[in-house]
Amino acid sequence: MTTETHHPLGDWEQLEQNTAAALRKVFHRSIYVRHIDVGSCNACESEILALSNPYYNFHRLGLFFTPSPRHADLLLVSGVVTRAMKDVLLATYNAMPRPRLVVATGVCALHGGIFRNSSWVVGPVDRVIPVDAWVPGCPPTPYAVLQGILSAVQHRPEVSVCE
Amino acid sequence: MFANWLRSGWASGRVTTDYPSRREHVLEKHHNWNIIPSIITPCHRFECECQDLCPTGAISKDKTGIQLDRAACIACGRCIAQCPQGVFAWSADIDLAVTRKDLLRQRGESRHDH
Repeated sequence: MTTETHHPLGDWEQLEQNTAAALRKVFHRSIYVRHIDVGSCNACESEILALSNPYYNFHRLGLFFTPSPRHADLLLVSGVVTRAMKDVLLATYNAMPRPRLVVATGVCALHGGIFRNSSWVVGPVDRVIPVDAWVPGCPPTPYAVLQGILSAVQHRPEVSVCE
Repeated sequence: MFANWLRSGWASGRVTTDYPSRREHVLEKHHNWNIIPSIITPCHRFECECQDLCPTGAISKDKTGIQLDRAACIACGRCIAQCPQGVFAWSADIDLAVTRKDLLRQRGESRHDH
């Protein structure tokens, strides 16, 4: 894989600086993340929870988890969308205030993975709601999840309240 | 108890990681990790069936060569263990998040990928 396709957002230092500027412009202060599990095996949840431990400590970048989608700026989806969770995912997405961002985490959310041919699976997340950043890996490392969140923020600096 | 915990944290020097300013800082810490398979040489053989080895269908072949869809790869390592040509190898890249899904497709022709 070439370097250009691999790092479309530049190096990490640049990513952090651009993200800080985008954060100020779009969300004014910090980002509240709502995590939803729509059919995951809990490996992705384990890695996402590692973000808030003292080692990775993603609060220092202005990111926080929130229990309510009404307070969330960014929806972190893990797992393949099952039939039972499709309406829940849509309701969560519709409950979020605009501007809203979506990050799909893990191979199941991107493609379906080993559950792809199951009859109880609707499909990957982008079949249900629009996705701003994709984090591959089974499960992705916490750094990859962090990079996905930051690149989603940087990807749509022109996002507005009216969408 | 609490003092011991604090002292051990200070002694090891690893209480909290920094957000790495350079990509290489993280990669050199994790250089021996087996994160995800990567295509290291192009392959134009049609007689072997590595597409059928892959449990999620991440590998595909056509006339232009072999493709690995990293959005579908669960890193089981079957392709690395069983390819007789050594087309696949473990890569330690951890910053694979992208904002466009087609960037995750890795083609076999790009020889200057590492």
